[in-house]
Amino acid sequence: MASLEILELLGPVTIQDKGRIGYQRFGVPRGGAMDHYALAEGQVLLGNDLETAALEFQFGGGTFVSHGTMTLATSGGQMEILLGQKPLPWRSTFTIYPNQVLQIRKTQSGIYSYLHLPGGIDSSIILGSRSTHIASGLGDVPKVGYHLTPLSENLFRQEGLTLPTPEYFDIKTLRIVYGPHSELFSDSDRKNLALKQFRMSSSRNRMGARIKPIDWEISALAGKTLVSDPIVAGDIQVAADGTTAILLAESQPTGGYPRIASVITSDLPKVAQMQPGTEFKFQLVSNREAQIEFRKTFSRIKDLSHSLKSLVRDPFQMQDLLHYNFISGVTKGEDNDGY
Amino acid sequence: MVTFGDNYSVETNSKVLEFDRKLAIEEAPWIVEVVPAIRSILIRVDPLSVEMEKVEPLLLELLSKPFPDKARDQGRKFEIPVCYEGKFGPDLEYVATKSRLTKEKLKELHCSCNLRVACLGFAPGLTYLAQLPKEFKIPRKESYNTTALPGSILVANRQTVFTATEIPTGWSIIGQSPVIGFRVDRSPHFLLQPGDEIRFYPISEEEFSNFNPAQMWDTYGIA
Repeated sequence: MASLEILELLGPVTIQDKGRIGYQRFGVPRGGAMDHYALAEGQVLLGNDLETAALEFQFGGGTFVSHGTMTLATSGGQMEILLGQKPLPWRSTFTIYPNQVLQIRKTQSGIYSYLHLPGGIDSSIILGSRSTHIASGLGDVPKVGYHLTPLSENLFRQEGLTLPTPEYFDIKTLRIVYGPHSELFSDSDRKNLALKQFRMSSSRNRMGARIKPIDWEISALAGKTLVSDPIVAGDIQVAADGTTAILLAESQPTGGYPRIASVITSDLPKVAQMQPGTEFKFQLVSNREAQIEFRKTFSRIKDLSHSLKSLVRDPFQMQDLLHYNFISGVTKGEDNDGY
Repeated sequence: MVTFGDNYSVETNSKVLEFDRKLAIEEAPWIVEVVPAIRSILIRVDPLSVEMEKVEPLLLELLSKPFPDKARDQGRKFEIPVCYEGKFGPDLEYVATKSRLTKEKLKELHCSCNLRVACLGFAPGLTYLAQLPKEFKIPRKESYNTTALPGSILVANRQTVFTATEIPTGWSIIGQSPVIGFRVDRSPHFLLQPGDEIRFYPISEEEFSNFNPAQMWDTYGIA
């Protein structure tokens, strides 16, 4: 059976799909891909089901050897990728042959990157998902010696396909909506939240990303201890000591710190990919606008397959070839220039 | 999110669970997931199938519907064995000192309460039980460096927690149960649900190692 064996891991690496839906009431974090848009891109590149599992890198990377021939795809934050000695373009499909070594390293943009297999990764399903959740021991943990097995028997997909780089890697505005705790904060805190700059810190993981207000402080609601309320990804939490964080895919299911606002679902990939030190702003939008954005993102993902392009154009597919003038002179056949 | 009060009380928590059951019966296609907590309930909606401005009126309408009788009184009763001895209850002495009780008296008191599963949260299968008498009004510890094994019984601030996975904690560990409320190999995966009633009873270290939790899953494991 074809597989991709892990020879080396250079940073946190997990298996992620859409996460565990319906189990938050039992204390299970939803988890799932940090950048759900990138997850979908890779699956579209291979023609997979959109929500199937991929390997998620958080900086770092890894080295793999192939046992078999199969087409793979990459997506998310751009990394350096070598198939044998040959560098490959990111966000594209390629075929790996038996005993070939694949090296993925050095994140160039963003934070989270994905490697996709034909049909997705066939690993154990726990509570409806293949997502690795290390803290509670759910899902397979990719380690050196672990074999990533493709879910589909159809191992060959179109190689040399690519998608355009999405623009969200460069956007420095995160849209927010108010939530049930927003009114616990002062008017000036809420005003500043949507007015002033923040900086993304390096203190972050799949649970959340710490952020720092530049030139001001959110007043922590000292003495105001809340009874634990359910958490959703995107919640901006202000802890008792003022520490502010955007809670992400793997946040705890419930928490007792108040949340001043929430980043809208469509902008969660931006948060996931925002590198430490980046300065950004929040922009307050209405629930209606958040919904419109959600629907836009949904149709953008649905239409991703229309944006697929070949890295090398196949002459037989090029309609516009008919219009080209290939003969612009006469030759005696003696001038062998260019051969 | 809908909140029913500022703090835990049986009345507030009951309103949460009542609404949870109404939502379960309703099976509205635009609701993706419902998460009941101690005093609040999160209703995750599908933005593709409902207009945001309609969510609040729809929920208010549901809330005002009469509560169906068949959904009432679903809280089940559990008797859960706990070993408070030796390594199973490393902080029993500390809690006893804080509450000015003997260890024996403390165990007795902990086992004399009818506790209610207020919600599950923090980690898979972790159960928040309310409410302990005022003797248990002890603060959390400052560091979060202790590891609580699955089945641990923790106390702080008049609450007791029953863990189902290994977690880091700042609460005091007073005992451990051979019953683990979360099993991947069972369906349903979780033994307890909000609204259930629990009473603990003390067992010895020997009884702990001989206890077969499979029986409890067979008896109660079907929701």
